[in-house]
Amino acid sequence: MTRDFLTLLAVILLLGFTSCGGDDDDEVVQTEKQTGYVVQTQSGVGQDISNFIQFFDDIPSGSIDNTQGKSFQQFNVSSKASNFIVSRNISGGDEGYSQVKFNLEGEAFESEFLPTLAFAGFVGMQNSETGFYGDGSTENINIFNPTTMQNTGVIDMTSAYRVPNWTSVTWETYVVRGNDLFVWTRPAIAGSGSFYASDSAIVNHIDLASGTYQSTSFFADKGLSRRTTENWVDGQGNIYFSVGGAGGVGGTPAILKIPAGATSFDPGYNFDYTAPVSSSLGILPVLAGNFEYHQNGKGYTVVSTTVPQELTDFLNANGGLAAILADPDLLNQALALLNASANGQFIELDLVAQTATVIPTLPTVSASASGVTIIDGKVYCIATSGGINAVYQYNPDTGAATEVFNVTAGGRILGFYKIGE
Amino acid sequence: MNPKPLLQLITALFLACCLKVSYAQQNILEQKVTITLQNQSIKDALRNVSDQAGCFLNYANSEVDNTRKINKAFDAVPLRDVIQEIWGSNQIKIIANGRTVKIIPTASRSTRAKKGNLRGLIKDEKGAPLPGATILLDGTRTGGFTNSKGEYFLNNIPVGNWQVEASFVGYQKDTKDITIAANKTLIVDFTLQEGVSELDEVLVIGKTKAAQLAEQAITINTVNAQELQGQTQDVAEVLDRVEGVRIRQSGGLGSQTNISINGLTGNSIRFYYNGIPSEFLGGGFELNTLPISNVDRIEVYKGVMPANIGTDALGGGINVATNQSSLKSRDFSYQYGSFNTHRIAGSFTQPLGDKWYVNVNANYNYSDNNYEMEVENNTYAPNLPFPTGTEMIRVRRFHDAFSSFLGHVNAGYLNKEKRLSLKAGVYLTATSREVQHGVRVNIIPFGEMEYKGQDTYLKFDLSKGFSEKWQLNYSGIAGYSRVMITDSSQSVYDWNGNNITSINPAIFRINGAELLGIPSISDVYNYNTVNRVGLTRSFKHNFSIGLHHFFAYQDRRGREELEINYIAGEDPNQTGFQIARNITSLEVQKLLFKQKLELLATLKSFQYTTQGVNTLTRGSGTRSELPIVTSAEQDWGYNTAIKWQFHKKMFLRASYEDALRIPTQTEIFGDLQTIVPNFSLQPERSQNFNAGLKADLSDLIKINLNYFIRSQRNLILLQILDVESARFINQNRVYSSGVELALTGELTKHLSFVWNITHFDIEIRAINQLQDDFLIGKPVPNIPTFFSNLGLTYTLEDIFRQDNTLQFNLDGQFVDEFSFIQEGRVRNDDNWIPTQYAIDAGLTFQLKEKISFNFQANNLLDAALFDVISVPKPGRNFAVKVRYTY
Repeated sequence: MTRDFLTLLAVILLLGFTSCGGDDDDEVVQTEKQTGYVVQTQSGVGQDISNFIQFFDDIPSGSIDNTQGKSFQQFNVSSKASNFIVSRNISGGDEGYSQVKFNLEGEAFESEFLPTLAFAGFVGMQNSETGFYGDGSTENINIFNPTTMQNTGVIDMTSAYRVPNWTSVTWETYVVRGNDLFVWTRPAIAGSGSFYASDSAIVNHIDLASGTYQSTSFFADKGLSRRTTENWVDGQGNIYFSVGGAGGVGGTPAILKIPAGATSFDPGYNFDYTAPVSSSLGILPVLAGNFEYHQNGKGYTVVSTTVPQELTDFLNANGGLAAILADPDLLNQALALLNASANGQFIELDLVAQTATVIPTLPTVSASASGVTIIDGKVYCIATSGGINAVYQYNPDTGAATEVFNVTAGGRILGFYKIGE
Repeated sequence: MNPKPLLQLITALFLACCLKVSYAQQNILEQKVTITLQNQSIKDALRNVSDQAGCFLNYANSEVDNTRKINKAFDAVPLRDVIQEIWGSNQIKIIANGRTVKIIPTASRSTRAKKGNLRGLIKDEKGAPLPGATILLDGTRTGGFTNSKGEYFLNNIPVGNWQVEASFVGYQKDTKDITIAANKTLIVDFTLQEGVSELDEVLVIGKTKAAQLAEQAITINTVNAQELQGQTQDVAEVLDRVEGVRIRQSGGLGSQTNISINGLTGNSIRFYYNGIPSEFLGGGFELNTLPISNVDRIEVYKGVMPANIGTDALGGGINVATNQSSLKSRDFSYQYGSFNTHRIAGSFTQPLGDKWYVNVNANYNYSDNNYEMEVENNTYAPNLPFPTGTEMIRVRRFHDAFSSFLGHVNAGYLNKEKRLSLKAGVYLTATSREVQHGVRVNIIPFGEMEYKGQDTYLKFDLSKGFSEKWQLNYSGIAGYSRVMITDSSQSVYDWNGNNITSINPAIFRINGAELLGIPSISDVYNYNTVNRVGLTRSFKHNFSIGLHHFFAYQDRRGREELEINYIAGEDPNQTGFQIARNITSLEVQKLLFKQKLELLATLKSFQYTTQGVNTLTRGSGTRSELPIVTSAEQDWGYNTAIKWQFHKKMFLRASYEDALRIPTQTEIFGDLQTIVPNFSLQPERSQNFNAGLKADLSDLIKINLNYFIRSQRNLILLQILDVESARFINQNRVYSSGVELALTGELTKHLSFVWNITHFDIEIRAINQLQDDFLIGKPVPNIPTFFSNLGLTYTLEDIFRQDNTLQFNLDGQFVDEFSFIQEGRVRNDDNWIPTQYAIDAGLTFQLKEKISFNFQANNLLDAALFDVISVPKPGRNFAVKVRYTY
């Protein structure tokens, strides 16, 4: 009897300790992917645009059918932090920002939502706890917590510069350097449509320690910096802004600089990197893809470099360049041809020496439909024109470029991202 | 559960049941009878026939004309034809149930009082009967066609002296004076001499205009709206039940409608109002604001359109024909329904002497459209200048009221002797619409944006016959459509209807507009003229040629009241945007083999010119420097159609068309708001093939089966350029094919049904961007491809007193789910418009064909119905209607 009792007691105690063990460990069961890679492609026109989003645990390779992912009508990646991406409202409509995570099956889903009053455009992030966003119904900049997607404050921008006759303003391209936040002004004058309504580049400085607007800096004859990026600040604190090069939003591409320790443009730094590589274009507009700072004073972008054959044929068939320039309709068609043509090349920029070098090992592409991204310290080039729809890795040390993966279905590659960096 | 197999099973069972009913009823009525009747009364003749056929004849003695004697021999004639012959009228319904045959007169006794009948044979000089010949009672515009034996029957003719006229294409008319006696049947035969004749417009007994159209060589579905005028439906709701047709609405009464015919949508489908393309008539002519009370018939053209209506429609069109008869009539109705909806309609026609008449049509609609819906709403906290979160709430729409008025007055002159018809009139509309949201239901609703429209048009119609060979027709309008848009509010609203800005001034719309990117108070006029002239020449041997020309000119100009939107003198609204179109058609028609084979062919020339400001390259100088761009295009199209009447109750038809659609004003010039111009836009093209079978399986069951193939290229689609702007471009090549089946009939004496089902595939065959290669072979998204409608009508006659009828109707609709965009492997429910089942029911009580009362319950299941993603349609709602007509 006693032995039976002791045995029973021993079993009870054993079970008790065993069950308590789990509570003490407080194990966290993950329900979302914490790190991985995301490929975004886009197809269709009009109301029927599909954005296919596919998650990969490792960097993908070979040929990808991106329709294996999930499709969204709207997916405008604005920034990313921790294990999520922030996009304009993925359920459609203009208002609000969606925080997008990936479940354990890799399916994208809206995990949080940050409402706005009107048009939601761009966000910037200092870290996973602090971010900034514009709201089409306020001329101020809002502060939010990207993890909880809750508004946490407002930066009063009422004293910031406004172009004459302005009717609205969009805050674009947030760049954080320590306690400095730099935000670009995109002014609009009613009736100007999508054209940039200023003849100067305009950037505002905000002191994040006090949360106050400080000053506005201008650079004459330059356009808008309209690139979402997180790699513009070098190790010393110099900020390299890419401006212009996109249809309608402003002028010839160039790199401008706010030096380390300064809060306004370096008036002597105007790196016209297109001059050495795009001279054959003559007076034709030069298009540029996005710019990414890499390391050691080097950055990468893609820019149109040659007159495409189809445009030459078009000019010849319509009486030459003078006739085209005199006819707005023909000029529109010529610009559309230029926009779609694979007449651009990836280039390496030495931001200190202010030199530009064409990377011959990467394919010729359309500058407006291609771009650069830095992941895990490596340079990836997205090439999507001339029958190519692939991501290449470029090795600056060897000059070699290798195809990492290509997309066979799902439309044009629009983005290649890493979450959980 | 996937509903497709279930629905297909139900469909198959239903079809089998219908066919079974049809087969069972055919047996006794198709039984051949051989009998000789000599000087027998109708009752005796019927008794002898029933004895020989072994059936029981059931009819009311009081309905029999016992004064008439029968002298006729029948040799192996179907029982149905024998009964009809003995009865002496085709205005009877013959229903068999086993061995019992019931004879039901379709004309009421009261209408037959003091009236007589006329019947006879129309034949040619050689004695051959002329099927399809016209018989016309002079002065009444009442008449009919001969049957396959060349026989005609005109019943219920008021007693007295008449002149009756027989005519047939390719033959000379013949006229005789007759005297109709009460309750007597007069037999008058005609022998027509070969020559040239022309048909006048007639009101056909037995076959309505809608029924005639449905039997043309080109594929047409017609809705005889006269049968529905007591009900509460509008034209959009009626059309939505036609096979192959989907009318998608972005909300309640007055919301925008999108027509889809066999997969073609948007501007590819033309909507005509009395033959005039609605795009030239302005916003007062929307399908869902036209009450059925004012409509005579609705014609749905699939593929080829006749040259006298068609313009540059790509794959068909819809023509709504209103009541424009010259006969005396009065019709008034009032309807009240959920969401404070009022609909008033009236029509009035008064002959003035024997040649002149005046016709007035008018309707007024109003609705608060404040139906409930689930919506995501922003939440706010006092003194915080941003939303603090979102919530899902059930609310009533609060800024969606709509009102519209449409009236037209016509004065007409009809001189049959001179073959001349003239009509002159004026169209007036006024529309007011509050706007609650954009294309989607936004988290922030609109609380102040408004749209107002006015249309004023003069209309003139002429029809003149010259000799017996030539016919000239002209129809034209001239006038303007005015559109006033006010979108200049800085206030932010929530879905509870609160003006948040008035509570917290720190929250406001900085851009000063709700829908548009910039504030706008615009007042724009579209000056339009549309002219259509046609000349037809008839030849011997059933051959005719028609030359038709369509000319339309639009000039859009106006002003933006908020001068800040444009530099002084640079408002492109004031410079104007012009587009002129010329479409010329040459049509030939030939009837062969005693009119059993009909051939039709048309060659079309399309030409258009445009002129407008290219706002993309607008400079900052003076108005004289505005970049004016002009363009001109010319192209060809053609079509051909064939119809083969291989049985008196069955025919096959097929048509082929290489069609073209000229881009619209907005597609070329943009809208001066978010859509930028594209002067390089090319017309859309489509090659369409349609084939169909139309058959009366029995007296009670009719079938209409159609198959179509379509190949479109240069599709005009909206391309999003960036967050603020878009433009129309030529895009993919699309191929579609499908089938539609419709059955109509009577299951019992009281119960009739209409059932149809449409299924098609529509896929992308070529793309313009290499990266979209994978779309080839994929379906085109955002188009419903599988849907079905079932309508049951139960009618009881002589309720409470003679000639009163009580009608119960039940309508069900099924639309299979479809994705708004291309879907990936992983389904995203947010992209899908779900499978929908809608059931409507109505009860109509008609008092002696003069006053009717209708009660209608729509969406009985209170189902979540969507035509457009995220924009729900009204839930369960009710309406009552009273109509007076005489």
